[in-house]
Parts: sequence; C-alpha cells; structure tokens
Amino acid sequence: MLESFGLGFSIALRPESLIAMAVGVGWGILGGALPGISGSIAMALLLPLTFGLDTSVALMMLAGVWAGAGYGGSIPAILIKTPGTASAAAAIFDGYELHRQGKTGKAFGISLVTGTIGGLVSVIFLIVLLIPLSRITLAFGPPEYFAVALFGLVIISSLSEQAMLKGLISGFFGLAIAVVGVDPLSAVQRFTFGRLELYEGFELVAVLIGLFAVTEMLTQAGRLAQWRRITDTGTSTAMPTLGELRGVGRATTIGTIVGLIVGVMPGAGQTVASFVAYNEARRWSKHPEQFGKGSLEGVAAPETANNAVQGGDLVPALALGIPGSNSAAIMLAALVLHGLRPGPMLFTTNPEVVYSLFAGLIIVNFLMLAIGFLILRLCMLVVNVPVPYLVTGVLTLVIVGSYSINNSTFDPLVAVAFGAIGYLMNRYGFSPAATVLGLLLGYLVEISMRRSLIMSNVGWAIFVERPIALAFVILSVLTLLYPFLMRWRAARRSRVATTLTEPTG
Amino acid sequence: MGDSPSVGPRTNIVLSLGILALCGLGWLATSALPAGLQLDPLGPSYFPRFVLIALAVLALALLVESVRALGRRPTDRAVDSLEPAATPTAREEVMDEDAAWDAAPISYPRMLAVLALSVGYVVLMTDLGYLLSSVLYVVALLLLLRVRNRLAIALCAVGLPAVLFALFGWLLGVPLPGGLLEALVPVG
Repeated sequence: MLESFGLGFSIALRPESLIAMAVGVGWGILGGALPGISGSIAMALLLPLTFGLDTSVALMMLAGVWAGAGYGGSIPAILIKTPGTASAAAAIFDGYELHRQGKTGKAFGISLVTGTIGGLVSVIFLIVLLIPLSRITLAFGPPEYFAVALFGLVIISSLSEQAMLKGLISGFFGLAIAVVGVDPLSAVQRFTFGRLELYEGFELVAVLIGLFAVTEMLTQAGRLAQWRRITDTGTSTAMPTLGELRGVGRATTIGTIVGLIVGVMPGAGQTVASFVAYNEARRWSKHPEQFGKGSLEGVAAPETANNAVQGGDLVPALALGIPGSNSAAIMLAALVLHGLRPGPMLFTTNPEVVYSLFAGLIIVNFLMLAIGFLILRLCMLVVNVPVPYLVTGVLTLVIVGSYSINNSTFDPLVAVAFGAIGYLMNRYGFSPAATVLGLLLGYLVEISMRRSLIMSNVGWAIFVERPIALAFVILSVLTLLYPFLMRWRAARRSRVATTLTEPTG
Repeated sequence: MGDSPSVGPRTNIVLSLGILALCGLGWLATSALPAGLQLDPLGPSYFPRFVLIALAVLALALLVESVRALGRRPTDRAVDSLEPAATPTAREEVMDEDAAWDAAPISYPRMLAVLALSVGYVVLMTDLGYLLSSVLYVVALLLLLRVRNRLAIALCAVGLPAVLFALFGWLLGVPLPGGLLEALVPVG
C-alpha cells in the first residue's frame, strides 16, 4: 500500500498535475461562486478538456473543481446572501450575519480552514476505511433514506424555536412545493398546470436564490438606507485567530462526521449534509443561542460538511462503481472516457489511477486553502458598494444565474416570484429557511416512504424493524421533542422565579 | 434585520384563514389525482393530502392561538406572542446603522417596481436578447434606486451585462438569448 502511495504522490506532484489541479480548483471556486452553476456543472464543463489529458491528471483536475466549488459557493452566500451553490445555503444564516457585523474576514477564514480540514479528514477516511464504509452504502435502502430525510425535516422544528407554529407551517409549505411535478412512481402530473417547465418541479436553486438573495435585495431596495459601511477595513478583513479556530473545533468535528456519513449515502447530497451539520452543531454547541446571529460555529459546521461529503461520495463510486451524486458521476464518466471501467477492479488493474487520485484529493484541499486566501481580498471589495449598485448587480447576477440552470427564462421568474414570497414570509413572521428544508427533503421523504411501503406491502413496521432506520426515527422523535422540553424547563424556571419575586398578599 | 415587525393577532387570524382556504383548494385539486394501485399502494395523492392536512391543522392551531391572544390584555399579549422575542444581540457596534435602517421609511411602491422591472426584464430577454434587455434593466433599476450620476449609470449599463455575458455566455457556454442583436447580426 505504501508503495502505491509513493507512486500516487509522484504522479500527483508532477508539474502538469499541479497545474491541472490548480486550474481545477480555481475553476471550481469560480463556478461555485456563480449562482446557478453548481460544482457538478463546473466539472461537466471541464470534462471535454480532460480528453487529451492523462487519466490520473484528468481525475485530479476534476477533483480540484469539486473541492473548489465546495468553498466557492460560500463566497456570495457570505457577501450578498446569495447561495452560489445549493449546499452553501446553510452558511448564509451565520455567514451573512457575520458579514453585516463587519467580520467578513473571519467568516471567510473559518469557511476556508474548516472546509480544508473537512475535506482532508474525509479523504483520509476514504483511503483507510474504503471497504467498511462501502458496507454502509449497501445497508441504506428506502426505509433508511426515509428515516434520514425525516431526521433532516424535524430540524425545521428547531430552526424556529421562538415562533414554532409559523416555522412548521413554512416547512410544510416547502413540502407542498416539493410535490409539484410529475410523480416519479406513477407518472401522474401533480400541480404542473400542464407547464413543461414544472414537470421536474420547482428548481431548488432558483427557489433558494429567490428566498434568500432576491428577498434581501427587495428589502434593501425598499429602504434604500445606506449599506452598512464598514469604515474600518482592518476589522472586516481580519482573519480568525487561533483561539477562534479552536473554538469551532467541535462544530468542525460534527461537520466532518455528518459530511462523511451523508456522503457515503448515494443520493443524499452536499446540501442535506450542510443543513444537518448546522443543526447538529447547534444542538451540541456551548452557545446555541448565537446561531443565526453570527456564530463562527454556524459557518464552520456546514462548510466543513459540504467539503467532507467529497470523500464520502467517492466511497460508493470507487468501491462499488456507484456514483452517489452528479459530481461522482462525472468522475466516473472521466474514467470511462479514458477507457477504464469504474468499480473495485480498478484497484488491481490501474492502481496508479486510484492512488494518484487519493494523493490528488489531499493536494487539492491545500490548493483550495491557498487559492482561497489569495482571492479573499478581491472578494471583499464588494463590502462597501452602495445599495443601488449592489441591488442592481445582485439582481442581474441571479437572473442570469438562474437562467443558466436550465437555459430557460422560467427559472428566473421562479426566483423573482420567490423573492416576493420570501419578503412576505419575513414580513409576517414565517421562516424561508424552513421552506428550503421542506423543498429539499420533500422529494426524498415521499419517494422513500412509498418505496419502503411497496417493499413491505404497506407494512409500516418496516421503518422500525431495520436498525439504522429505527435509529434515525428515534433521533427524529427526540429532536422534535427537544424544543418542547427546553421550553417546558424554561417556563418552569421562570414560574419559580416569578413566585419568588412577586410581592406577597 | 429585514422588515419583520411584530405581527399582531388580527393579522395572524387573517393569515391562518387564508392558509385554511388554500388547503381546501389544494384538497380539491388532489381529488383529481388517481388513487393508489397494487404496485404503488399509497398513490400520488397520499403525500400531498398528508401535507395539506398537516398545514390545515397547523393553521387551525395558529387561528386558535390568535383568537385567544385577541382576548388578552396587551401586556399579556407580548408574553404569549407567537413572534420571535426581541433577543438582545451582541451587535452594539452596529447600533448606529440599525438606527439609520429603522429610520428609513419602507417604500412598497419601489419594491413593487423592482419586482415589475425584474419580471419585465426576464420576459423581454427572449425577444430583445440578453445584452439589450440587460442594458435597459440596469438603467431602469439604477434610476429607480435614485442614482443620478450619469457616468455611473452608463458604466454599469455597459459593464455589468458585458461581464456577465463574458462569464456565463462565453466562459461557461450558456446559450443566452440572442434576440434582436442576433437578428441584426447573423452569426455565420
């Protein structure tokens, strides 16, 4: 094994490999940063360029794009509340808030460093635990997916602790939106009104852009107050201190674990990982009340998770030849295009390809760190732009970005419409974040539930008979009850306090 | 931040009634869907109906809470409010900006105008082409947002569409609508 690694690193450290990886990372960051362009699209765009390259170099370059996009999406998320990729949406909650507090540099720094850590750790797990992890992939069937999706959904209840009813309503609204489209199991059209563009349902990224970016721009346009002028540029570009980095250690660990596990599950995806990581980090944090108000942990967890997914994602791809996501599928496509066959045989037929990929995965994370820091100053030029220019710039960007998802003008209209909806939701106390979760997980929840019941002949017990599914169902119930438990405890404490302070008589 | 003042119980009542009405409409729509088959016991109507029921229940709960809140004194109302409590945040250094924000009046007509312009932009994009419609959009938007510096408007109107076209249309290969320009300058 050590010998193979030596071979892998020697390939990865060649000048042409390093250049390819650097180009890949840069391209990935750019693609990730542009709303509407996801990591897998950026990879797909580069695929033709890899034809003439050596297989190893091609894979390493694509791995670079993948890693870069994981970070790139957070750039507009932090700066202009626009998720560059769907998976960066969870970074908005605290990242944008940090930016508004003038701590932009800290947000970016945390995102970069923890993302690198997440990526590196997950690659190490990939290399060391490939076979055991692949067994997890095989253990996940429809009931497990249902249970995990359910677990993701109950996060809604804790997203909106203060105004829970409206938060839940927002979440179910998201589920309702997810229903729109052609039903995959029965091919029946649901709420599509005959529109071709709605056959696949509402495009998640367009809705995300609408609910976050467009809503924010509408709000800004409505007030036309001065954009927060960060007069002390020293503060805004300040990087996180070592103390702060240590402070997010727990969140980073949680993000890594979540990213790795969710990555190993085919079809779950980076976005799910980042939301689950955000919620879990809040649950285990020493300062949960800071989440949503500029908590560094709130940026660390999702950013770590969506980079850690990369390692997990390659487990089913390399061990079983099963691509668990679009990005993994493109990696496998690159293999096929170079005449190789994906799957476990690759280790024996072409070990140099596999091990140089491993080496490359490690190197691209460092490259991402380096390139990320280099462009940071550039990104933060956006900090002091006056409102009219900011609004115009963001709106034009997100409109063309959402157009590019399907080369259709329908998606920009969806984004604009959800911008209005998002504004109204905020105005009346609802939670766009909960709606996003509902939309994200609605499809997975429904399809897994129906498939499970087909498997078990409508035996609902299937969800509690299988151990992994049962575990997640129990976790979901606990998560649901947790806020009630906290409120009950707090209410009891305050009742005790008032009886103590009330004047007698 | 954003515009989310405390929402009173009367508003909540209207909202919950509205949601209930939408649930009713949704239910009617789902009755047009076919029932489950043996191969697919739940069928396409099960999940939507479940969601609609859940929404209706939640809306009812909101209605009940709001009606109860109506009957209470204002001081009690604040305690039982369903809205997010105004939690003090560690943002003292940006208090001035918050004050400026709160002082600035909300202009709903301007927001609606932004929405209308955006919709118009997207609709016209196919016919006028990306570049032309973007130039018009940028100019209109900047004027609406009270920019009067002609040079800035001109630079943005040319610069923004050009940069975005270069990024998306050229670098990323997205086929942006050609529209008028394409008709005038046939690509050979």
